[in-house]
Amino acid sequence: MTARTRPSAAWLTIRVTALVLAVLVLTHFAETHLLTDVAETDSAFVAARWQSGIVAATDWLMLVAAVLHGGAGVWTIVDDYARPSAGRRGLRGVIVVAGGAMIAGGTATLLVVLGQ
Amino acid sequence: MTPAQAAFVAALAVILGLVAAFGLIVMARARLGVGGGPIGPITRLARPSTARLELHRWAFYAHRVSGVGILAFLALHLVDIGIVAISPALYDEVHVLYGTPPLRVFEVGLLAGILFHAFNGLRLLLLDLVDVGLRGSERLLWLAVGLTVVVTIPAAIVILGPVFA
Repeated sequence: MTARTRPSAAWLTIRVTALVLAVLVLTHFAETHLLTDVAETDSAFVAARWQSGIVAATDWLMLVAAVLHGGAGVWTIVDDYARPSAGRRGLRGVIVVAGGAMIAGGTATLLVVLGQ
Repeated sequence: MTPAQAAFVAALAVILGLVAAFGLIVMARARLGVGGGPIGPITRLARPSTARLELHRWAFYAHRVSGVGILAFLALHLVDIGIVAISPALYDEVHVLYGTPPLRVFEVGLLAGILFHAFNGLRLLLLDLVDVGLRGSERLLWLAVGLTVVVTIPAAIVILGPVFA
């Protein structure tokens, strides 16, 4: 008999974003490597693609979901391999900063191209 | 090769090196503290098939390493897509690399990693919701591996096609 425990935030984040990513990432790869040859996905392709608000919004959702999913995954890995210490707190800080930079950078790219 | 292209290739090499190093860390950690003391990957492979949890342990390693690999590529991909906001011409200059034979081979590997992580991840989601038992879980794992292979092969033909054209 095991006690019922509350799922950790990382555990829940990984699972909720997984469902979104299973659809969005595979669609994205198929679009940019199978339906279109990768050599054709130049800057004109990127600009034309983001003309559609739905595509731009879906890409942004994919960005946020992927960073949350990857960040929570690496958080779990750090918990597995590093004992509670200043080093582990430092690694957690790196995850938050790097994840924040990825979302901020990706969002900035999208906004700049949309504004062109 | 232009400086921007050289920087991209160097970044890709660093990422592949980091993923390989992480794979070694996962394997080194796996040697420790698994019931009965340290055990090497070769010994682990040679265990009889009755040690059914072994297969799931390998699935765990593959899931972890593929996940870190995909995340590392996402970081590079965000940088290379970011160039388009600064200079579309510079983006095109770097992007040409994606159509070269070595990068196309890399893209096939990336797809295989994404597919395994996706199918095995969906298996793990299912296991959280339904009790299918150890045998059922093993069958689902083989299904995930099979689907990965079955989807990767035709996709590889499409991706690598221009190399042989």
